[in-house]
Amino acid sequence: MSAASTAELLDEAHVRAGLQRVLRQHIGAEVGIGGLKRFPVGYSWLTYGFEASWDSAAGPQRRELILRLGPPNGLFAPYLAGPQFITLQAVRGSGVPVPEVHWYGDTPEVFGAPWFICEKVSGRAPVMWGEHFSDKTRTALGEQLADSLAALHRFEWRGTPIESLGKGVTVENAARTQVDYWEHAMRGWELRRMPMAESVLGWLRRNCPVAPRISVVHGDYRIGNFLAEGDHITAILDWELVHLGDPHEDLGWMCQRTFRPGTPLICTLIRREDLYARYQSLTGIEISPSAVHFYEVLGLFKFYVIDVGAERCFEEGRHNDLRLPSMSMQGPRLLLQLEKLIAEAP
Amino acid sequence: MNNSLDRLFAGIVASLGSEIIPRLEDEFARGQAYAIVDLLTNLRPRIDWAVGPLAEQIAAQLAAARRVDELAQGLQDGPPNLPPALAALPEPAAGETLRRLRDQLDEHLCKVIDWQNQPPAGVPDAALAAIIAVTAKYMQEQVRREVSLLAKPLFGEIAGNTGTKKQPDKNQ
Repeated sequence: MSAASTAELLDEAHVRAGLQRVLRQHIGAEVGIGGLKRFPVGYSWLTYGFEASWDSAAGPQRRELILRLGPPNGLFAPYLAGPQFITLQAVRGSGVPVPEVHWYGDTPEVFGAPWFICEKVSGRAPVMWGEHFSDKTRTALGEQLADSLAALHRFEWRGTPIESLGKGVTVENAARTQVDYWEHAMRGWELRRMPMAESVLGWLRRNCPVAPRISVVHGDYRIGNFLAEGDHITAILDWELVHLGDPHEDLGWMCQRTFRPGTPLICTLIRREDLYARYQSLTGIEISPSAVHFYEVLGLFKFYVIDVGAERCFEEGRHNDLRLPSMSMQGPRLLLQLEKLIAEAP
Repeated sequence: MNNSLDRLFAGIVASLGSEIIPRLEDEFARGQAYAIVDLLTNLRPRIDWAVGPLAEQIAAQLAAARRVDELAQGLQDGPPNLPPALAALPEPAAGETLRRLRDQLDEHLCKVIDWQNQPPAGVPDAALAAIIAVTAKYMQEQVRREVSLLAKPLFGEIAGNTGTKKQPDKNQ
């Protein structure tokens, strides 16, 4: 099969046929697909939930599963499922709560797009607006958010398939590699050059920190990207930006003001000093405030670049989703915030 | 706001037609939505970008670029000079034409900032600092001018209606 259009990936019959094919191939039996349902979230990967049932020698089997598809019109297209899949597979059991992954493909063969299938984890994703946590729940979730990140950054990736994501990343060039990555994305997307964005890039290039170690970096670690049930985080989600790099990068990202509207609590859950103390005691990494600040600036710059990408995506007609131009209109506001944030360097 | 007017109008009309109207069950609301489609379609040939804010922006760009040229006089390996073709407002000043000129002037100022970011050896510190001060002032005024045109963002309302918040079982 050739590459599918997004319309095909949204077509239930197309998705169902692909699921039956891939499950038959991997399970070795005819598999029934029930309750197929698309979750209408995000601008990127498509997410379907479904129930697979089949007969085996041990009796009837039933699994609640999730299919994720990388659409050709997504913000970060073209996508790869492999990096997420091998990371989730490798870190499972390490103290990072992740769903069990089953199968994936990066060729258009089955669905016409990259895909992976994993178990469905119970829980819901708290967001940064309008949540009313009890103190007990807030504290518990904040501590687990810190603990899971510490477990991820402690994870010994050398000798695992994650090593293939490295591409020569060292403690010296980890920050520069990310600045290059996001500049490259901006160059590919920008409809016009903005002087303030160029000035911020100059600041980033002049202030790259040396990493204390190279860790698995989630790349989008924050409230909104984990599932929780009661006081427990059941899974960390959305690994599409996973890479090897400076552990300060995830800290800088989760500390963004965007993820704590109207509160000093990081991700609306935990005080910065408590996050740092807990994380340091679990990882042995001495947090550098200037490195976290650098990655907060880089993170805010990434938001700007994502807005630029949304602008391009809408302009080319890949999406009619009006959230894209609405979001990208905020570019100047982000540049203003970047100017102020840079001025707050410790 | 960098999307073209054509694309914004087309996208709004397409979203109304394919995503919103089919989900409206109230007849009056559907009628109103179709009227919006009709109005937008008829407004499009009559609408251009407002000239006032663009002219103000271009005046600031030209002032900054000319000041940089003055400060760079006599410098070896100085920043690029303002191209003569960009030095005057076009007549008549249509919004779309002004947007193109604004973008070209920003491209020029970006080249000045590229130069600042990696100044050639031998550029006197005082001259470099003076040029940096001019572009910094320009950039600060530019983003503040653009932000002053923005309405308060509706992030919470928009995110609350993507399904993210209402979807109790967002999953991996």
